[in-house]
Amino acid sequence: MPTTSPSSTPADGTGADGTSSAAGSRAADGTSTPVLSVKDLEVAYRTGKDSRVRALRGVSFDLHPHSSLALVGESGCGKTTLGLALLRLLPALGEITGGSITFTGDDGRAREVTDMTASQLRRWRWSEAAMVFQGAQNAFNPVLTVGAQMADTLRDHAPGRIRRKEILERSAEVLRSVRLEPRRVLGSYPHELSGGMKQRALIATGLLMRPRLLVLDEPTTALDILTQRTVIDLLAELREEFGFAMIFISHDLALAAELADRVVTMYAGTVVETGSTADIFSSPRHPYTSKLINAVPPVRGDLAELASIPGAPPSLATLPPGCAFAPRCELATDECRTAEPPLIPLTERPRDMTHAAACIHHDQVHHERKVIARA
Amino acid sequence: MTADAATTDAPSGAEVTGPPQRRAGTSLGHRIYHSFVLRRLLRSAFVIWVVATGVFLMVRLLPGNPVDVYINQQIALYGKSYEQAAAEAQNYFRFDPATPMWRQYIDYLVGLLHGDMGTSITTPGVTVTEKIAHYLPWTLYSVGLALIISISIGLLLGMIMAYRRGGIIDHAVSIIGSGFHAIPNYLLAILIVVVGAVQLGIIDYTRMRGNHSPGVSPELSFRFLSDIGYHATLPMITYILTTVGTWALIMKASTTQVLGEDYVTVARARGLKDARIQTNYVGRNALLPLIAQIATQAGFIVGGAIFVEQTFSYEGVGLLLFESINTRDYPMIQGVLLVVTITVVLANLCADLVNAALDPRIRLGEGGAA
Amino acid sequence: MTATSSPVPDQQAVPTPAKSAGVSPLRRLFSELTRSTSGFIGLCLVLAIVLLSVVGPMIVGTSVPGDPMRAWEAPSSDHWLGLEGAGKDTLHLLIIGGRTVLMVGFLAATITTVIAVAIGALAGYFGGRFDAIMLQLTDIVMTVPQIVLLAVVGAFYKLDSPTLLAVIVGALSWPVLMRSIRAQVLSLKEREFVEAAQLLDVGWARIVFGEIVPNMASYILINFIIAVTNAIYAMVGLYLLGLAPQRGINWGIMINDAWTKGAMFNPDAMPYIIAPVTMIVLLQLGLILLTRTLDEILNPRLRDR
Repeated sequence: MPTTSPSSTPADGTGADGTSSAAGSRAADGTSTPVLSVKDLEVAYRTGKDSRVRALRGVSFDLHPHSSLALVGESGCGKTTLGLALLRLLPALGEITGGSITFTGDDGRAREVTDMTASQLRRWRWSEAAMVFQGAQNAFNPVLTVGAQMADTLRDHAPGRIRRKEILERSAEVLRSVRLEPRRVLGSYPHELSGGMKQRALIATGLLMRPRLLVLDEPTTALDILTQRTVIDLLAELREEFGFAMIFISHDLALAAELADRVVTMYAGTVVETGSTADIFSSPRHPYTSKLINAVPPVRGDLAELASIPGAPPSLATLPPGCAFAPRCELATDECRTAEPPLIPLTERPRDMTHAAACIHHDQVHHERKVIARA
Repeated sequence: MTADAATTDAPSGAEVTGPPQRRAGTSLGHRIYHSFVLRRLLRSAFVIWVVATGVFLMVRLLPGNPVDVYINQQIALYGKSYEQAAAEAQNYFRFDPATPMWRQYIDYLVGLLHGDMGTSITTPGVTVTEKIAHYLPWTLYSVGLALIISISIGLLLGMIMAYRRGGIIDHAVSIIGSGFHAIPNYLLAILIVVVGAVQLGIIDYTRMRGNHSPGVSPELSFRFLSDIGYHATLPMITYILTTVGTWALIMKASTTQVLGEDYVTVARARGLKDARIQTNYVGRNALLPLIAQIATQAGFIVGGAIFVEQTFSYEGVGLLLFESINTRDYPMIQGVLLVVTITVVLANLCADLVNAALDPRIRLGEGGAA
Repeated sequence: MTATSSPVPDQQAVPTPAKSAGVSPLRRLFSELTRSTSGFIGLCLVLAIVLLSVVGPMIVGTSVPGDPMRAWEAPSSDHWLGLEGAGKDTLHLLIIGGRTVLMVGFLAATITTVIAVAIGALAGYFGGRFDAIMLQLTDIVMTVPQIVLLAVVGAFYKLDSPTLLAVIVGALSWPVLMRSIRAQVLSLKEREFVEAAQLLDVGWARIVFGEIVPNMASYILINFIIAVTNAIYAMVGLYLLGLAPQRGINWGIMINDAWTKGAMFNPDAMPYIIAPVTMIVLLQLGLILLTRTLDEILNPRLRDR
């Protein structure tokens, strides 16, 4: 597995001008191939002998090298399921029932993740795509030292024998990049580390094999504010240094605004809006996204009214026909309730930053924050 | 706490840096308190002392106690004087019933520390310690070996059951295990004899009873070892059959729980090899609750040995206890009780130490950092 | 048969107090029980044996005639299980032999449960010194194998009556149960309804015995049944050792007879030995099936999906 550091290319901006200096494979026409290409992904959970609940319905998006994507939505919208599905780590009762996940590695070869055999999966996981799970509390084996677990990872991925010295060097290197002291952390057991340290150690372990894709599930949720700040800054730096493409799953929009080039909003198992961070925050085109943004108070600036979204997300087992958000949406019409709206492209942008929304009334979405007091 | 350089950025207040300092050179009392091993040793000694005292209470202090009974018997049956009877009692019980009670207690404890537990009433001239020393190894051998086999099989079955829930082995072991669980071990032994030997004739009872065949002398030879193995088979089968189901179920529950833990999913995500996950990640963690149960099960098996050994004429402390109960050989009963307790306490201690060796959270204290 | 409660109940969380409209919880329990095959079998076994032992003697009478000349006669249409060593009808003996076993078993279990609940609840609720001492005590008592302790007590002090036997067995078995109860109380202590009662200043006695304990009712039931199995194991063991009162006739005495008088090795005596053994095994099996099923019902988490 590649151990050379990629050339330090600056993370791409919102791609307004379309030029990209990303080191990725290029197709003949000069556009880069996405690292990840998800098409019409369907995931279902078995709830009984013959019954199933569709957790993900027709999810599609692309992810380009070095870019970062925020997957946003309420609890239960399917974002964690999506994250797990990408690495085929769904629990026993879940399965991918349709669609494709295409991964393109550094060598330019495109591979179907859904078709991989068990041993192919094992080798692909972590070395090319890694995941940092939600809640670092229990992510480490309590009876082994952190160092031993990192060594296990390196050993099981090495093509042949790997020397102790190399294991130590590589482990120390990633630990230092997350600002942990290798001497202390490597010999410690998980319960001897604080929550923030564990989270950083987890991120470090994820970077051990220099994956092309890093998926983070709620990376800051369990941490206190100060540690959150540290981790967020760290993630931005790491993206620069290691050059991976990042998907992070969160319900925290503020986080998305900071770290992501691009935002994908999900509701009831399907994508409702996608676009660059700037587009989404300045002019959301799906009523749900708009309400989501309005539900988070701005830390700076004017004091705005907080609007919560009435009602509750639907149970995935009894989805209403048509648009899943219709029961809670004031723009809903009969047409909304009959057929599920497709993702309608609104503003074309390169590198899959196209702003698209799954709402037939997207032009009626007026996003404004009711200002209570001026800053 | 010294300022630690484990993190090099501006420290957020909530973090304690690095693993806790493992100090040296503090006061002795402090070190004993903190040393896990020492604490467990002291606790074991304490338990043994309490049990010994309890036994003394039963033997000497409570109304109707054996010493009084013996003395009264001697006086009534043989017309001896109290002093005479008491002197004879001292022969057997090691303390002089005529002296003040606290003196008897001290004598008793001192005797214990010297390994002197009195003399057997039924076989005069043979001290209790001697007799126990003769019988004990056989019990330790049969019970110990049975425990090891039972745990090993149960462990394997349990893991298989957890990995393949609802499979054939899962159902079969659950049902059969429940079935054997319901049969008291002494009844199983009787059934083995009645059904296996008497009725079906498949078990050669007369040849298999006893510790070893006549004429085979104890020596470190294959002949001897295979012979004692042959003779220990029936008791061991009884012990194993009555406990293996329980082990399998415990291991299954434990493994199932571990399989659902985050770190197992993370291990799979990390692309670790299956074999490594099964042993180091699942196995080692699933094993921990089992170890806690070892001492309990060991105590249970030893208790059952009283009957099982009698049924198969296997000369261990179980048989010894049974016989001494029948003959009201009080010093012997008392001695066996103490020895059995000490054995279980030691088993407990070993289990705790192994647990600490395997689980760093116990060894180093929970929650080292803030 | 273990001398300790099976490992499973220690891990379960107490189910929330359910008050579904209309159907009484007992009825629901009963219907759930009968739905599961193993639970149903267990219930049937236990009920059958109880019925046999309680009602049977009233039907067949408690005096059993015996003709020593016909000792060990084989089973026939008159005597389904044949005759035993004194020429008595084995089946008849079997029917009247269950009463004592059940009585001692349930009585001992009741004593054990009452003591365990009282001490466990108080230790769990109050914590502190009392709790620490109790834990230490149970640790020590648990170290000595129950049967060995009972055997020694039985050897030192004569156990004259079945009632005394029940009391001794009951009094020495509470440590294990007490730990389970205490663990449950500890987890229940943190719940809101306890806090509410505390705020109402209701008094600890009412909180512990009026609020917490009733919420553990199902758990206590399961542990009670386990205590019955333990008591029966201990009791039959004591009978085998000859330390229990040998008056009258019961399954334990029958097996002891067979064991000590060498009837084990007599092929003709097989029905006499197998019958009481079978009854005891069936009784234990029924009780264990009951506890397993009750466990699953009251703790759906453990159900295999």
